[in-house]
Amino acid sequence: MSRPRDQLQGVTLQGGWVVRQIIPRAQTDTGSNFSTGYIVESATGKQHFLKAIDFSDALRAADPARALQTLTEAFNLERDVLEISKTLSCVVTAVEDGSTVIGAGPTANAVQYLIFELADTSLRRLAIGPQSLPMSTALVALRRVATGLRQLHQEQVAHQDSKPSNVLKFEQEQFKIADVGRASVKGRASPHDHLSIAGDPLYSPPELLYGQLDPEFNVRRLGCDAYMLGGLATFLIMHSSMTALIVKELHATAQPSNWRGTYAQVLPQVRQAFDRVLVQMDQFMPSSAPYRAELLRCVAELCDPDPSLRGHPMTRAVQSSGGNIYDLERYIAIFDRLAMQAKIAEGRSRKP
Amino acid sequence: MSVLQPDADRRLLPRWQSTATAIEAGELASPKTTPLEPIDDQHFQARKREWEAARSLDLAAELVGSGIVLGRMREVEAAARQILDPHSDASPSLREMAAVALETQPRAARQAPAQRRGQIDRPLVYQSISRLRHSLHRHPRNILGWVDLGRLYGILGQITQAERALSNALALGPNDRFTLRCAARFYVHIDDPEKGLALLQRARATKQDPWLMAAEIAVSQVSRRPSKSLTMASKSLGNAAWSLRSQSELKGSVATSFLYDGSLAKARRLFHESLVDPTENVVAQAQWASSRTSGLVIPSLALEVPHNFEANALRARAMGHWTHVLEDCWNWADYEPTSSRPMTLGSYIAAVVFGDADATLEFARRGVLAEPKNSMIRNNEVVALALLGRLEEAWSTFRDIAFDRETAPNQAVLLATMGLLLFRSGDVDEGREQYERALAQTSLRGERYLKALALWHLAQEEIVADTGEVTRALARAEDASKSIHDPELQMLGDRVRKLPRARRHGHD
Repeated sequence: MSRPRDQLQGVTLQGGWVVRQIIPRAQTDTGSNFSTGYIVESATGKQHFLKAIDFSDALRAADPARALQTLTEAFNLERDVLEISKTLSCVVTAVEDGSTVIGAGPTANAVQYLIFELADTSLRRLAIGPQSLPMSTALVALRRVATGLRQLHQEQVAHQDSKPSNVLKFEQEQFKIADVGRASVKGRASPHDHLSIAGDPLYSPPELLYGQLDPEFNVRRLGCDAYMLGGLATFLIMHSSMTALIVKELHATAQPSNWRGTYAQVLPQVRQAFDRVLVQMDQFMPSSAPYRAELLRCVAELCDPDPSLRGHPMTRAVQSSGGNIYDLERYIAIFDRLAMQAKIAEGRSRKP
Repeated sequence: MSVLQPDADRRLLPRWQSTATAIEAGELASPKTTPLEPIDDQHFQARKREWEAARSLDLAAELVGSGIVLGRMREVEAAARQILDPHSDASPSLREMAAVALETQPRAARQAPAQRRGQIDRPLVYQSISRLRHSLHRHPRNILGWVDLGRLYGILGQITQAERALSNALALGPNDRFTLRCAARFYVHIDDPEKGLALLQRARATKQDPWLMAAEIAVSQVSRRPSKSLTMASKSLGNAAWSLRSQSELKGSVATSFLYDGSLAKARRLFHESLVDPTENVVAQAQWASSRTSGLVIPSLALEVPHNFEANALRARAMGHWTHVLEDCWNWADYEPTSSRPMTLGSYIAAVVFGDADATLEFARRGVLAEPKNSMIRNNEVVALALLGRLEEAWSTFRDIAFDRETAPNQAVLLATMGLLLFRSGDVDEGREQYERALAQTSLRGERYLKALALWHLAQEEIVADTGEVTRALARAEDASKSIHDPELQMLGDRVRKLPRARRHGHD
């Protein structure tokens, strides 16, 4: 029997939203395993994305009370973060937060939903697709993500899952960072606090993969965001995650699935692997690209395997006395400048 | 002439290996047996389902990446094949990633060899140095890169540069196991074991790491200082939290300590335990120890450990397979180009057993390159040059050896070598005088083997110079060798006895 959240097709929701079609999971770029995606239409006919959630999975769990609590907390945290981010220009925010009831009588079930702007596509699809993504566009996306992350950081929120599929493209090359379902708010408990990796392990910083969980919010959470921003740049060049590229370069005994020691002990090997990845990246970028050296330096700084050395060196120097060493402001400026340079270079190369 | 018998002593010092080789040998692996908390595979499973449903290239790419990160490459082979399909739009970098996923062995431990078999390819080493320096200029925090750079300089005998590179590594990773072990080995190499010991004893990591404890014990033995790890190490042996491989050198080091203290039964027991999952260094140590205590048998499985060249050379020597000794010494030198030990053994066997001056010189020259300040390898070079009649070179090299700074046995060897040089230079009386001084030193210290060795060499010189002292010299050598059952001495004796004697003196 299908879950209540899977039965919204054709339903008209509060505010006149009509649920048009379910989106198969493979076609959605964001979202958790406990939600279903739909295309919905507003009263004006504009299409949006709806994320529906119910608690039926929790009720089938071995410990329903605990599962229900976890699910509820996660959903509420996401809603709260969305509320915090509703004025942020580079973060996908909800345009509607509501609920509906599916069925009637004793079989009635509540389904909660969030409605978002509908994106054209994600950075993942743009990068790995038949059409190559112009580097100027890729750099615009990086600037927008850096801005979005910084906006969240200023609100004491760490995103922790800024992977390529969570960077969405809207009309007129407007990139925004989506899915705050794995975010943490400083000073507030999150249902995923017990997980060493809040987001997707494929894009996770290496220290988390090896179980080094710094008690400092900034180091563990904002450091993760900084790494993932550098990881996005890596993905745009290499079409792979920085983490996978590093692990690929490690000997089997040092890979996270086999390692049995501390992160400090494996760090020299991780760093050597990381340096090899940087060399490969350098080779994969066009030698004439104006952004090549600076982008590579950004990746080297943002993805440094040692979280205490991550981020812009100038920012680290200025903020060393307790500030946010992962402040992304300088990278926003750098990506902006590099995007311009790339645009100019692309224009030149198109001229006959 | 004389050459000092090699490997009278052996401590389980860390090898000064390239990072790639050390990683392969498990020297950089975690000592612990308890696995980390498994990484949540919820994303992996979801991704797999998504890819199976849609089979799009972007999902295939992420699934392959996840398989690599989580060590589940078998489960992503189909996705990797999709990427590698000639008709797919995958980029070259993505194809490379997919190709790695389809291999069972991850890509690591790739390093161009620093030398060709039997000789150091200096241009190749310089090339490797240049590449590494360039890389370190861009990525100066690469500790292992600095260690590798230090080793490359070490191969060329450029000690100052080697020390500088290792200092950089130590500054970045004062508790890094591999760096500490290589640095300690380096300081033993340059005859400053106290400095190596101080490094190990200062490092916090030494208290918890069996590999570092093993190194500390070995270096303390070399520097004749008390080990700070020995007591703790003895208590920690058999710690189930440590893998057998990581305990191998520790057990071998403690066993060596027992061996030197005369606790042979304890030494044998620990050597046996050290050989359950050994490094090649431990196998070599046990092989060396087996000639000093009965009942220590090396299991055949242990002899199959990769890069087992030293153990093979020692084993071949014990069995009298002399050609194999030379062969394995070359392999060993290729494997450990910073050490003069393979060359010391090789030149010794070439000189004593074969009387092959060319081979002796070849081994000695390579040894000098590795350790220019090692007087005994220099001595062997002098011996080879003298036997080849290149007396000017021989004297010049001999004069560079600081006789006064040498130990008494080394001085005895050097005196005998001076005797050889004088004999070959035509000054028989003075040559004989120097041999007698060498013999007096050996008698004083009760070094019977060295005395017999010097006497056979004296007899050889008396024969070559065709003096009237041949019969007496041979008789003295035979007499000194009577109670020594040593196959190398026997080979030397056989060879000297068979030397053609040109003419006979009246009283001979």
